[in-house]
Amino acid sequence: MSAVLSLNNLNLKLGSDTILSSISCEIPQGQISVIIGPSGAGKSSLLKSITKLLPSTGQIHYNNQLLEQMNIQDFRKEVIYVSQVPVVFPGTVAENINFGRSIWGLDDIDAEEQLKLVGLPPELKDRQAKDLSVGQQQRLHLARSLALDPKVLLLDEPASGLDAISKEVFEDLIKRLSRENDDLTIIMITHDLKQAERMAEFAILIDQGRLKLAKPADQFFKQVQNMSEAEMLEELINEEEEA
Amino acid sequence: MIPLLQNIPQDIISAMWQFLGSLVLLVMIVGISIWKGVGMERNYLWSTLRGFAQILILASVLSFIFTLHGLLPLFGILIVMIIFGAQTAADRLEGIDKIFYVELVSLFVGVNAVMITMSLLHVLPTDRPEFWIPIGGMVTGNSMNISYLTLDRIKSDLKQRSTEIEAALSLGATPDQIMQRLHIIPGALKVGTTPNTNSLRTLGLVFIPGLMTGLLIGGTHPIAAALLQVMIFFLILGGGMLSALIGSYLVTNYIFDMKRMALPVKVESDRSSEDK
Repeated sequence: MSAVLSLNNLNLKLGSDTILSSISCEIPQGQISVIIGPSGAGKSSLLKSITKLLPSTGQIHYNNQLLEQMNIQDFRKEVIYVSQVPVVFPGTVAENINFGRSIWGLDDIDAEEQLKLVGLPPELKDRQAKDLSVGQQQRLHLARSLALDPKVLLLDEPASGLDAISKEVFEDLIKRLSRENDDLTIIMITHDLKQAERMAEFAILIDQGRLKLAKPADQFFKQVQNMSEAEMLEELINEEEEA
Repeated sequence: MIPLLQNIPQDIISAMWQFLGSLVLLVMIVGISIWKGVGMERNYLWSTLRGFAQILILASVLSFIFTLHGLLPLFGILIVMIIFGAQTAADRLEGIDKIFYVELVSLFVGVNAVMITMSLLHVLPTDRPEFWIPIGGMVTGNSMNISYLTLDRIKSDLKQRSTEIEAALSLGATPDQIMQRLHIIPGALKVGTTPNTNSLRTLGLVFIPGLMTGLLIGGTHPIAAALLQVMIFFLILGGGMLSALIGSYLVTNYIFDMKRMALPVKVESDRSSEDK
């Protein structure tokens, strides 16, 4: 499987704090990759660094092309970061869905179809986006990103604010999107090991800003069978350090 | 008449008697301060003395300035006022890179555009410095306030709406598109001009502005004074709107990290949220 994104020696320092240190890995194209790690590990910073929302150093290749040689806006049209907190812009749901397309001068797409795609009722399209529930806003945020037909979605704990049932529905949605779009690569963050196991085709472990492990999901989780999350992290960290 | 006062113009002598009469109010203010234990009497007296000295110096300078003729002194004085205005606004907008230059350029262009256009149209007579310079001061001062309020609103919007801005950047939006699409510049311009539009709306009903008062005291016909006052409001709003608009676009380039097309990292405030 070819790599859609290659990270080479990615570092991020904010003031005197080192947030990311020497991150190097290859993200397989067309799969769901899951980044796991404890709170404060640098997971969100990694996703933001990939899209240059944070000023990291090191090399990022997208489809074998060096990011520095690309127009950052063109890159962000194809590699979209979706934040943990759902963001809605002032206006209706339909206007929100087409926000990105209007920036790019593209024709509006059918908001009803886009709402169905993310499992929201089409009749919501004329509602004010700010009036939706948090779960609905999260899906709207996703629908807006999908409206640009991205090649890579960077999802920052997309189900963190949802209850158990909504979380399951959201997971099914992500898996369906991945299944139906062979070209679409999804990289999502979670600190829920069980969710990672359910979703991942490729898994990455990060702790204290360092990449500890990056493997296909079957190999990754084989190592952690019958362990608690804390034990797994400790074990994996120790294993990596010893190596 | 007292021999010493013989060479002083009659209008200055009249103003002096009026001024001395108004000192009754200063006595009252100081009396209330002592009586109620406010403890501000020294402050009131010192401020009065200082303000009196400053305005006398200004009056002396103006007496000289009003004798000057030609465009060079007029625009020279206007530029000095613009520099002071830019510095004052920049002091209140600290935390934005190169804010003095942003204010200087925006006020310079905004105020001069209005003053030059109005002079060319003979709305402002360049052969009457006693008319032209105070109006230039009013346009500069109000443009400074409108520009300050606008840029201050932009600064706070960018801080408070950073997640929205980040979401728009993530879709490939440019900082200029964000400032327009998220209604940041239009909203800030509205905030910046609101005090002046409120004044315009209540003109004559709630207050009679200083310029009109001066004209009425000076014997100008009330209708002529009213027309001039409304004209001044147009000049003020025109200069302010232009300055604020130019400042908004200039400041966008200094607030955003244009190389990454992203918001700058505020190390202290963002550390806790980013470090995860």
